[in-house]
Amino acid sequence: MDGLPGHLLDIILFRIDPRSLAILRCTNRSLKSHIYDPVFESEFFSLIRSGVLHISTFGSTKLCYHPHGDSRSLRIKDTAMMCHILGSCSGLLLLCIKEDLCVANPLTKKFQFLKPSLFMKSRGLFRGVNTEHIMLWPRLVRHIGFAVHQIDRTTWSFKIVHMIQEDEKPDKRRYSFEINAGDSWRRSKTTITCDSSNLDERIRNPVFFDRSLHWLRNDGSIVAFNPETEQARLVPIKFPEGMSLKTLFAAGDISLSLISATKEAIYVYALENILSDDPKWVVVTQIRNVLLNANMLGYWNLEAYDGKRLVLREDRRVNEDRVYYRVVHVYDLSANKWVVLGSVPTWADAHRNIFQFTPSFSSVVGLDQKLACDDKRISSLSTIMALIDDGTSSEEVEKQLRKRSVEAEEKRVVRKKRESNLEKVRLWTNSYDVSLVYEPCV
Amino acid sequence: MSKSEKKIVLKSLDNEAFEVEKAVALQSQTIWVMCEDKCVGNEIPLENVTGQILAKVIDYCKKHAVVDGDGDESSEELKNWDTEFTKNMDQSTLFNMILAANYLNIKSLLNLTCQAVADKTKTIDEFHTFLNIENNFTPEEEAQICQENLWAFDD
Repeated sequence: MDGLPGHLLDIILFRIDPRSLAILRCTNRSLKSHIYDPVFESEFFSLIRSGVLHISTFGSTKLCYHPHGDSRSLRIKDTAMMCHILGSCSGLLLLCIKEDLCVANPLTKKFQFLKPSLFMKSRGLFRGVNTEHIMLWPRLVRHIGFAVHQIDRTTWSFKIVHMIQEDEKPDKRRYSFEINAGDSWRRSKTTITCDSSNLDERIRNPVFFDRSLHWLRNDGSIVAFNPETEQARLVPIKFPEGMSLKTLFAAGDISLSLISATKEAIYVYALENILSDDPKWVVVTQIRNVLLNANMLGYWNLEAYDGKRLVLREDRRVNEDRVYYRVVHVYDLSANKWVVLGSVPTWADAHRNIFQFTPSFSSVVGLDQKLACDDKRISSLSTIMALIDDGTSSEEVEKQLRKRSVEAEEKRVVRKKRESNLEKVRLWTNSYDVSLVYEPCV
Repeated sequence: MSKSEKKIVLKSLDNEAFEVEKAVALQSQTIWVMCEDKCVGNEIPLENVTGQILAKVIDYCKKHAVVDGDGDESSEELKNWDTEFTKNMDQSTLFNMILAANYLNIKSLLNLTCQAVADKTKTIDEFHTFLNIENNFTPEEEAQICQENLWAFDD
């Protein structure tokens, strides 16, 4: 690196897109260790601001993505099949494409399809893609958690958890958990039983924070489950006083967060002493609501929060008639500023599930699936990946996924041939009673 | 203020002299500090910058000095000008522009030129030549690391 001092090189590196950065890792030893350095990596990805992804609460073939903070670049794509977004965590998405679950990294184009558990199916929930069950979807989604753990510096793994509630006695509720780490569903031995209370209807997804998934209940208490240790517990806590109906439960930077909004002000609460017997919600930030001076206000709600940015959606009345246009506002906590991220297309239905998404190129265990070439799901998945990964078209991604499946198919054929050859050798050696060590070559 | 006080002479490494408006030159924090300290006369020697590069830096400063006063209606135009400015620069010019922007401490120019390098380098060969990086992997190491990052090379 003649002539370019380190700090200047960093200025350039921080401006390079994640894909080129991955290529750059392959150019030189010292660059490789520099870019793999966790300090560098966290700084690099902290500069990439999260994009916002949304879809109808009841599933749709249309997905919208607002890339980081550029209001003019809303992207909309049509998938061939009905899709849902169930979760977004550490650069991975948990999707439902037709009747299968799918974990995907839109940046590295790695993915894994999973069948829903028998239990999910037996409740009829996974036929939810049909219109008759569509109203059940939000309830199912509330039970499914998506956890992504870091194993070492560069490797991650994921777990999907389906929480099951059963009434044990009239006033007791039992929680149990099904786990899928990329292959099959397994019922955890862990259960907890506590006083009855339903899950909070305002919360769309369980919140993953500090290695555990958290479900907020109506009485304010939280069911926590750690998919690694499979320990579950009830966090005995009440809502802070004066919570408004517009409430969001999310993972902040250093704690679980509860955000409560009125038209005037938004309060961010952090959960302190979560492990003690006396956990507490404490106000950490107060934000002036962007809608403070809004006239003709229609429906609005808090939609997502990642500790850095808060997403708020507003339906603004155009005139006295009931004509709305929908706006997504984002509050940047470090800059103390509201910006309009963009508008939601008018055809979109009013019930939106909105997710923040930050890309990551970490390699994830269990995401190396290759599909058969004629699999119809490839094109829907390609569309979603291309929607998020800037600069690639759905066709390119589809070609890439299909190419990979062709290679997988070829490898399968080669393996079969080799196995049958092996079998012949074995038969031959057996008949001649010779012991032969045969090492299959790759 | 007389006319001569508003002008300033910048002298490059290869002794090329450029007479510019003070407002243009003062976009460089380095020159600003020099003038502030009164440690130089009306002529400022810049020992790290060649005449060819300095001419380009002055072009940039002139454009930005004029337009900055005009308010934001021209910010779009300025952006386009910036894009054109770096578009046809070759690798070594961009490289020297970065060093000059760093030495002269002109933040916006440093950002612009670094962004240009980041935008122009996409393939592994471009990285080797553009950033002047030597490939010091053994073939085995290279194969392994490329395998790990295979997704980035897929087209």
